[in-house]
Amino acid sequence: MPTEFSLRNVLVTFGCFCVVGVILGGCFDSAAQVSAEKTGDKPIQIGQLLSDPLVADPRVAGYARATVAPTFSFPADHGPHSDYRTEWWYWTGNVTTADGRAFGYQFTVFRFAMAPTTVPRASAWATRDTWLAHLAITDVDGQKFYAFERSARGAGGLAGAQGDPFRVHCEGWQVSGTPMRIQADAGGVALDLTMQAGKPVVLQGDQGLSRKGAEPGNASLYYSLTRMPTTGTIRIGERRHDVSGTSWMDREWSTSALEAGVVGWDWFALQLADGREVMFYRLRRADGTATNFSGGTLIASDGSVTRLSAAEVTLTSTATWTSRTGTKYPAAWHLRAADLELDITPRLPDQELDLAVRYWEGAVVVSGSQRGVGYVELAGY
Amino acid sequence: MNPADVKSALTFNRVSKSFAGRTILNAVDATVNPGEIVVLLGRSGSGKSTIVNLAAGMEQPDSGSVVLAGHPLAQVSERERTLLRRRSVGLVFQAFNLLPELTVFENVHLRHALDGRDGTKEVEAMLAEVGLAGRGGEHPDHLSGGEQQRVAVAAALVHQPALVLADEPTGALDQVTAGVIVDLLVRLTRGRGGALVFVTHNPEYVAIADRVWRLDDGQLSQERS
Amino acid sequence: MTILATIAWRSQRQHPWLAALAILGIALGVAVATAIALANAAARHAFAESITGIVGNASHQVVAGSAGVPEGAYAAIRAAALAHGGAAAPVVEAEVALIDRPGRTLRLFGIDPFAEAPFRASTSAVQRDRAFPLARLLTEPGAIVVSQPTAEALGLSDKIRIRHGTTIRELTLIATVPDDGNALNRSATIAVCDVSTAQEILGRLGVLDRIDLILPDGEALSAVTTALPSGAEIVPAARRGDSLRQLTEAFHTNLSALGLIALVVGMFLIANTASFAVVRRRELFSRLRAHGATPGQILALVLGEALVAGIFAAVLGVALGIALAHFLLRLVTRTIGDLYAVIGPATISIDRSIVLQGLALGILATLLAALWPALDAARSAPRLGLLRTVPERAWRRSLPWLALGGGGLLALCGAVLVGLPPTITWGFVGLGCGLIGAALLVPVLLLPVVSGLAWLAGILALGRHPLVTLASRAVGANLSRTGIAVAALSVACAAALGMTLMVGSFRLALDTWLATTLSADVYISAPRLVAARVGAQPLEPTLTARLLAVPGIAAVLPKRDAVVSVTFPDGTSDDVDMAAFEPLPDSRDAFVARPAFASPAAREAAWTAFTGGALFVTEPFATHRAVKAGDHLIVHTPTGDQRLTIAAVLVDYSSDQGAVYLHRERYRAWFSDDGITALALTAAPGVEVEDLCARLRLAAGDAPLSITSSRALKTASMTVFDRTFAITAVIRWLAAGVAVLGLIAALAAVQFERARTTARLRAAGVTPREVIALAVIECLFTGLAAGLLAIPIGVALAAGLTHVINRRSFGWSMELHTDPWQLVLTVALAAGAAIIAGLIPAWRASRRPLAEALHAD
Repeated sequence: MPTEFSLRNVLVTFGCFCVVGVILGGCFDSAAQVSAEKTGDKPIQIGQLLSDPLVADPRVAGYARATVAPTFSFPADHGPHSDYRTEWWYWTGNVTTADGRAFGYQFTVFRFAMAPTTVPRASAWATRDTWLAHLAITDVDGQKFYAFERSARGAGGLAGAQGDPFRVHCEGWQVSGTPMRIQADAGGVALDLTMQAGKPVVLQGDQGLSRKGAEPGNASLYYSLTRMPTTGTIRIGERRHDVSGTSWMDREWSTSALEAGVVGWDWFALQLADGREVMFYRLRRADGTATNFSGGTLIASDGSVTRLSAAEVTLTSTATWTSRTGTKYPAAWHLRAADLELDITPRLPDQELDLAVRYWEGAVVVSGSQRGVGYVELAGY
Repeated sequence: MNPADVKSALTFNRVSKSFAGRTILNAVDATVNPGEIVVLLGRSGSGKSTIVNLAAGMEQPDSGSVVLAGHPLAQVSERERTLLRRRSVGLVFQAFNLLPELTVFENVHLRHALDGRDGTKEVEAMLAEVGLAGRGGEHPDHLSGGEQQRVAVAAALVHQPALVLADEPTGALDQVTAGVIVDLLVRLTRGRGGALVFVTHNPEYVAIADRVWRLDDGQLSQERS
Repeated sequence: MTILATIAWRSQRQHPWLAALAILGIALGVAVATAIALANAAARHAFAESITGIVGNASHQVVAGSAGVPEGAYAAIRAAALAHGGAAAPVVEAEVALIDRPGRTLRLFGIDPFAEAPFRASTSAVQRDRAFPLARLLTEPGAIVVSQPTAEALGLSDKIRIRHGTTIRELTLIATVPDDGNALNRSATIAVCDVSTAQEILGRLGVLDRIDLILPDGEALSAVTTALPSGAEIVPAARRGDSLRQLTEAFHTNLSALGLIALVVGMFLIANTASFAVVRRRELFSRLRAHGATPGQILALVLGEALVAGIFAAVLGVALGIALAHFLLRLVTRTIGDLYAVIGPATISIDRSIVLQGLALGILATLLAALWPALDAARSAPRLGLLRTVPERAWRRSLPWLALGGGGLLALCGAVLVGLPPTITWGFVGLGCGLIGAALLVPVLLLPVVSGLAWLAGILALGRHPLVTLASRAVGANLSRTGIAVAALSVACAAALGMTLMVGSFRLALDTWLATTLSADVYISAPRLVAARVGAQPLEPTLTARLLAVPGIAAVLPKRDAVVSVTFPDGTSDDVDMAAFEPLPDSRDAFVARPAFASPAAREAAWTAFTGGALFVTEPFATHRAVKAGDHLIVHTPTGDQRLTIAAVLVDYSSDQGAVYLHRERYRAWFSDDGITALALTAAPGVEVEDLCARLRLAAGDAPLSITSSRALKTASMTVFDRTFAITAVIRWLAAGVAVLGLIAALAAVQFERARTTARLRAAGVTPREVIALAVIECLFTGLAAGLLAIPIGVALAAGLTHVINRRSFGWSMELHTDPWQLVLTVALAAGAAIIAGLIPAWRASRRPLAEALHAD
């Protein structure tokens, strides 16, 4: 005779929402309700989450807002910025073995604050931060894409971040030290990569203040390390590959960013053979058009930065791909900016992270006026 | 087996029976032929009822054999003896013949019912013959002694037994009523071709007999009527 | 067959109340058995949910007794589990009292939502509710979530005041989750909160009560084992709560056995009625046989009657049982709540298998009981005419067989108790054999006893009275009609007497023990959720200081109750209750060893060993854990494992789970724990205990504390004891009630049957009053005989219950105390029941018009 347990109700709720729920509960309650109506049982999509008019949410009050560019200081600013609601550490990279076998990787740690201020609590388990980490490896030659996620509270040594000495970690996955070293493994694959800083820090937007909308404060604080020489090992199953290549680190924190009507974005981080890098993001409305707050930067080989406005970049999608989840993504692009005419092609079509939050993030190769490699993120499809 | 036995309604072959050291029957030989009326005369306690019980297979002899309608009772099972009694014997006693739990009709119908047979017509015909037509629904308690005994006669004869055993059937009745019952018994037994053993202490009933048995001191003596 | 049914129906209809009594008797037996089964099932269900339901999918657990697992160990344990494809989740939980709902509790269940999914989540969809306020649950102090049915059942509002130990806190109900449609959900009262909240509310900062683990293989197990902190151990999840469950199983088994007694008595009743129905209709069966009914047809008739009666009785019994179950459940859950654990409100659910069991039990018991009389009827000789003495003679011929059977069963009883494993079930089987064996001997012994009584009456100069002679003869003559009923009455009276004597002995032992043990004047502890168990929640130190500053205290005996993890000689481990204290030198007399110390020197040596770190264990502990003095236990402490000798086994009636005693100094050193859970105080000379209590209560202020004088504590303990046995009282009175019904049926039947004899007596000039007197004397003889025969059986049963069942179930040993007053009461009960049984039909017989009576068949 079944003797279902009332607790189970509670815990089923918990279990299913330990990831989604944290995000929703912490930051985007109203977004969650809207999206639940829209998507039924489908996982939440980042674009939908971030596109919500959060300013209307009274609970934004109490958090810091990105209104002016601060003076950045490193390594302190590699650490967490708890005054802001949302923060992430983003590493992507293209690496190859000595005999030319190519891999892409992504390692991301998100921090979401659930409350603007800390109530004094006696328990060491008390926290107002929840952490979420994504690990993805693209085995280009093996035609395989691996993606995993972990989440934890920001307490009890389970997840957290600090600037000096640098460490960000979640459930046993971590990036730490100088030079930074990524150590993460799951489901039979593992990353162990060391990344030199390479070129100097690039402050994105206006001295690090990256405006995403017309409303003051709808902006993030955003810097990047755009070309990090990387060595280490990637393990796929029992096989260990010694690899080298370049990584890209993005750091961004904000309390509210996107305007009403924005449903997602396409983000490009390209490392060209001539020593330059391009970063460009396009904020998309539901009809597919880009907002004026799209933009990017062009980094010269000496590290000098040129901002690219939305109008200065032409981005055309030249192919589409439909994932197993039925989501249709653009699958090749032509990008024109400054003197560059670039054709961008995913190294594998299927680099969709079908996790509690669903998006496409994958390694790409660049051809055209310059050859190169890079990463593209497609959110809100 | 003696071929003559097959024809007889009842045969006693050297039957002995004693109770508590007292010999009731001592090597009794007797035969009742089909359709024959035998009157068994004896004093109280002479063993008349024992003869009836032995004949109906309700008791077993100490020695000798009882053959009922061709079936040696000692050689068949208790169940077969019971079925033989149910189908081939009719019993009328002085009293306590009837089941107070059952109606007049049901009492007469009992043997058919025990056999799982439908005997409604026979029962109704029989009740009419004993003069109780239409009274089948009554309970025996509500009948007079004579009426009760008429029911008993009907119950004993309704299945056309080969042998009817009547043990002092008139013992509890006045003379007039007794006469009616004896007439009924004789008429109905003869009418159906059965044999009748009529047990009594009253020598007057010798008149109805084809043959008379006297039981005295464990010995049975026979005489033609 | 219809003619047989007609005969059966009409012959039974003549005495409808006889059939009705028989049906009622067996129905009561079925009702008691069914009610107990239903109440047991409901209580078990609630208990299982409260104790083990929340283990979820865990394969193992890391536990460290009440000291708790240091929280710092969690990250490493979780990492080790994750690295091997497993999972880990922290749990901090405790039962708390709801202040605004006195008597009700809530299980506060603190978990880490991030780690819960693999444990207590099915992948099934509550995904509907995406607005679940998880952020508030994690960040808001005191935030809890309960299921909708729980919130409704407890009438919870947004703010909930709870008490844990001596602490009062306020919780905030931030959400309810919907019922999944399963009504059984209502029995669990669990509040889920974040592990941080649970730590804060329950005062468990820095520790976890346990870490649930899913470990796919031995490699994962050893990886986690290497990450264990000192004092913690890893146990299979399925084993947790087993010992507690086994203990309550003993309780449930005892109840079931009691229920079966009622049913067996009911069976005697139906056997008696069926047997009487056969004897009464002997002539009918003989006539039917003469008219050609086969023995099989007679057998079918009697068994058919029994079947119909059995079906009626079973249906009626199950219906009564369901009603009775609601009443019994209250007693059962209260007892479990008093003795074992807090369980949620249990509800009777009509379990189809129990209902079917009840129906089958009733019908089969009836058929079984009727089988012998039915065979007897089938053996009826075909006959027309009146007979009386033969059946009586047949009955007497069967007496040697009864004696043989009874003796055989008694021998079997001895063999089972001595030769088979000492489990509770075998204990009951043995006692059951003994009881039935004794019941078979009752008819054999009845005649000599009645003769003895008649002889006695003769000595008392009544014997010359013809009525007395007549009555004593009649008892013997009617043995075939009354024998079984008298046996039933004897057995029921014996069962009631046996249980009464056992409970009385137990009560006396407890009373004596309390008197010597409660040697201090005042006892202080946090109010208890489970009366017989002391919580491991320490008193607040400032509160303790305030109490001890009260003037008039001569001596203080602090005690620390804890749960510690122990490895037994056989290598298994479990959590056990520990009491750490430092007895005052002059209170050592209160501790009695069993087996007793060989000499004063041995006693002194044991106490010296105890002071040095040896253990004392209580008698139930020694029984359940199969240990004895001289054995070693490994106690896991935060400072490392301690291999400790058991210095002695002590008599202790405080808990049937058993406990180990440790010197408090050793406890403080090994567990680094100064906590005090209870205080025993001695009043200074000249200080009134009640005055001291009043002053202490004043000092305690608002703190919820139980401050009790030793006298009040003793009274409270006895109250719990009496409540515990209230249910046995209910059941034994039901069993006795069934037996009395049976006797009334049997004796009344005899009296009715003797109507004709009575009529003859009256025709010979006996007055109606003398007719009644005759019946009363006859019934008195019968009842006295039954009562007298019940005494040896009852005393033997009490000895069995005390020395076999109690010891096997709970591990307690005690002296059997035979209260003479109870023996007198038993005989009086039997005689009284018999007289009442005989009076009514005798009265009716005396009033019946003589002519009608004389001529009635």
